[in-house]
Order: sequence, then structure tokens, then C-alpha cells
Amino acid sequence: MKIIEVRNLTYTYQPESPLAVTALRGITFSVEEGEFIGIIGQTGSGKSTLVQHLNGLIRPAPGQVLIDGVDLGAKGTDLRAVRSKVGLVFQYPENQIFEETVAADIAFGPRNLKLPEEEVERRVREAMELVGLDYRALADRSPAELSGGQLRRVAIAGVLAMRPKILVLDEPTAGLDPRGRDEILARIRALHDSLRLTTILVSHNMEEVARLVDRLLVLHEGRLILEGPPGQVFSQVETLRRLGLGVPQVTQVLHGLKERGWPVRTEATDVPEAARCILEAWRKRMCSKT
Amino acid sequence: MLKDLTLGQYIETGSLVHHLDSRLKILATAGLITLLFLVRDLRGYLVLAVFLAGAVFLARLPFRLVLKGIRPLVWFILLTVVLNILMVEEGPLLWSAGPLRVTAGGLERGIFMGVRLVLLILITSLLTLTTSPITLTDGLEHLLAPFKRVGVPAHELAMMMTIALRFIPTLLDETDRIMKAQMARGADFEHGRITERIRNLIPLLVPLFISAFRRADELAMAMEARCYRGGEGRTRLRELKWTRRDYLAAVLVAVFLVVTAYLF
Repeated sequence: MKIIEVRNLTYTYQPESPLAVTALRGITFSVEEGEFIGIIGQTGSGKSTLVQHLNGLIRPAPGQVLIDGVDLGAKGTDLRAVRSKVGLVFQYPENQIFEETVAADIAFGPRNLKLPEEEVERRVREAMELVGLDYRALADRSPAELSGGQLRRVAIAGVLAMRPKILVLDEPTAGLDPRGRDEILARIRALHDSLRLTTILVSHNMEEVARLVDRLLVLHEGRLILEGPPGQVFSQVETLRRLGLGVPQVTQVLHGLKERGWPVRTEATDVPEAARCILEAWRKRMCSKT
Repeated sequence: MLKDLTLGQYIETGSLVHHLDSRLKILATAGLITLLFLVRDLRGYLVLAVFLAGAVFLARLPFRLVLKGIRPLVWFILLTVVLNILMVEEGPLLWSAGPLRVTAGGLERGIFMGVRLVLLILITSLLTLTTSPITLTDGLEHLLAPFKRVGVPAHELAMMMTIALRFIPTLLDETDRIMKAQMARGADFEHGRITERIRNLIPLLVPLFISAFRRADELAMAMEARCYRGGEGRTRLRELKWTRRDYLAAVLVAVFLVVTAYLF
């Protein structure tokens, strides 16, 4: 079932002024329930503008955005209901933390849903567990005492506590060290699987999305340029290079081998898969020589 | 949503007006505002409006954009107009209902005040639209320099203004982003009673203050790292220079101011 449908979406900041910037141009795509989607593109390609349409923070005009069949542009649409269904984690989400304790900040979302206090507490506990924060040790601590990686997880927990069906993350690894980055990504994949979420991950880093997602959307200057499974998208090496995006290093290695005449498959995007491809090709070469 | 403010925005068109010396533009603005309060006749305002329209035309700015600057203050202007119409009682009575009385004098006064406010906004936004913040504060520093002797910290004031102006768009962006982030968590900034609405601002204001302080701290560090020690002996990349164009414009504005003030 299609859970997200975006039709012919165009968006201009400050229309009719000399500073007008068109961020999106005729974007059309849809997402099946349970899919893990990656959106990649350079800074300024329209990624952030696009995801802000997905929970009605920006009203679609012109164009249409349907979440679970509900038109977000229609008058009278209950945007609060949409926002509890679509959890959006912004870039540098730790900047939105404002409460005195970790638990109180995570409770902000559920409280806005007007849930009873016990339910709020249960959800805070659950959300903290989901992102790997120790409830007993951290719930009553001040956010100021936490590390950057922990703060980001608090912010993600704040969104998860609303129990969204669709989780949208805008550059969730920006500014984290490699270890913090790997942790967050592994956590997101685990959440996607265990909660049966539909997940959209926005990034400009090929390596990180390639390993995680089922399908990739490539944005460039507000247009949807490429769409498909990572292996297929990364086979368009030339197009991606022209857009200044590049492909994962292992994919580059495979393409290099192919250019040198190896009978190698090139759709692998991570190291183990690439190793298999190379071994396969190696055997074929050996066989053909003897 | 917050990005739609025209007030205080600078738009480069490379026109003649943009290239005029900022000191001249500041003084001309001050002169025009003084004139605005001296003139006691709607016909005088008509002349002033024509002059402003000429300036907008020369600045190659779209009229619609300049007029958009009025929009945020439209309720304030309407309130002033209505209050003036109702409060001033002069001349023949035109209309009355209960305690409300509209007289010819009051009507004239109301329209007069409304036009005055609109022109005031247009004059000031014309200055900011055609003068980049940096040259604007540079001009201000120069104009204030003579007062240094009596203890006016001209350079510091100008630097503070530069920084404040520089951070207005940044803080607006930040506000927009935090607002959206909290709305994504179900916050509501648009509905509810006034007490509720004020309380609902906490999730916006706390992060905004934190980030403003952090930015201020970082900026101070970055400035010190580049040996900033105040204005003493500091040189500039772009010196302000009076050219023949500026003298010409200055004479033109001065003549206009004196003649209009004399006539109306």
C-alpha cells in the first residue's frame, strides 16, 4: 500500500520577490508502507524543503502530498494528526531541546497529544530504551550534562515517543564522530525493522545511505534526477559524478575493474558484497584463462 | 513564514541610488523624516510621495516590493487612522452613531496621520533597501565620529549595529527552524488563550536564547582570534568616498527639502 504519495510538487521561497528561490520543481514519487527510502543530494538540492512537506510544515502549492491517503493541502486537514503519524527529526535536532530534564523534553510530544500522564511516562521510558538511553540513569539529568551523541538520541526519542508510523530523519549523522555516526545509523535500521516503520533518511553521504536503504531518490537543484535501488542508482556513475555526488568507494573500485576489462558485477555498495563480486570475477577469469 | 519580512531587507540592483554615499543617504533620510513632521498639508505629502516614487524608480526597485514593507504594520496604521477620526472633533459633523462622532476635521486628520505613517515606513525602508548593512553602519560611524570627543563610543556603537544587523536573518532562520521542529512534535503556536500562547512560546524561546548566546560567544572568540581590539587604528577595505554624483544628489535633496518645507 502506498503510504506517501507526492505529486508534481513545486515550492518557491519568497515568491514574486527578487530573492525568490525555487527549491523544488515538479517532484513526483511514492513510498510503499514499510519501505526504507534514502534521499540524497547536495546542499541546496531541496532535500530539507521536501521533507518539511511530508508532515505539513510547508503546505504543498502547487502540487499534492498524500499521507495514508490524506491530502495535506486540502482545507480542514488535521495537521496535528498528520504530525503524530509522521515523525520528523530535523537537522541538529538537539537544538530544539528546551526542558530541564531529559524525560521532560521527551515527554513534550506525547503531552501535546493530550495523553494521560501514565501513558506519557510509559512512552518516555519506551522511547529512551529504543534509542539506547538508560532511563534510570538519565531521565532526571539535565540535557546540559549529556554528550553530543546522547543529546541527538534524546531528540530522536522525543519524536519516537509520539509513536509515528513514518519516521523522517534529516541528516541525522551531521556533526557526529564516526563512532557516533555508526551507532545512530545502526539504531535507525533496528528501529525501522522492530517497529515496522516506513523510514526516510536524508543525507548527502553516499556510503551511509547505500548500506541502509531499499530505494534511493537523488535530488539535484530541486529536481528528482534518479530513483531506484542503491545498486542500480550507483551504476549511473557518470551522472552522479556530474552532479558532484560520487558513489561509494567500493562501487568505484568495481567500476574501475570493469573498465579494465574484468567481468565483474558492479551493483555492490558495501565491502562484503563487493568482495564477493570480485571473487566471482576472479574465478571466471581463472576459468577462461585455463 | 518569517522570511517574508521586507522591513530592514537590503536588495542589490546596482542602481545609482545604491551607489550613493551612505552618509548622504542617512542624512537625506533624516531630512525627509524631519520634513514629514514639518509639513501640515496633504498636498505637501503628495509632493513628498512623488519624490519618493522617483527615488524608488531610480533605485530600480519594484514598487510592489517597496509597498510590501507596509504590510506588517497595516493594523497599526488602521488603528491610528480610526482613532484619529473618532477622537478629533472639528468642523461640520458628517456621521454619528451613539457616542461615535465623525467630523470633517477628524476625517482629514485621520487620513493625514495614515499617510504620514505610510510615508515614514517608505522613507526608512528605502534607506535599508538601497544601503547594505555594512556601508550603513560605516556611514553612521563616520557621522558620529565628531561626537567621540564628548565620549560617544562611535566605533563600538557602529560595530554593535553591524553585528546586530548581521544576525537578524540568522536568528529569523533559527526561529523558523526551531518553531518547525517543535510543531513537528505537536506544538501549537497559533491557537489557544493568550496565557496559553505565552506559555507555548517557552519551547521556542529557550532554544533560541541558548543558540544566540552560543553564537555570541563563538563570534567573540573568532574576533579575538583575529586580533580585534576596537576601532583604534583600524583601517578599512572600502573607504567611503564623496564623488561628484554625491554632491549633486546632496544639492538636489537639500533644495527639495527647503523648497517643500517653505511651500507647505
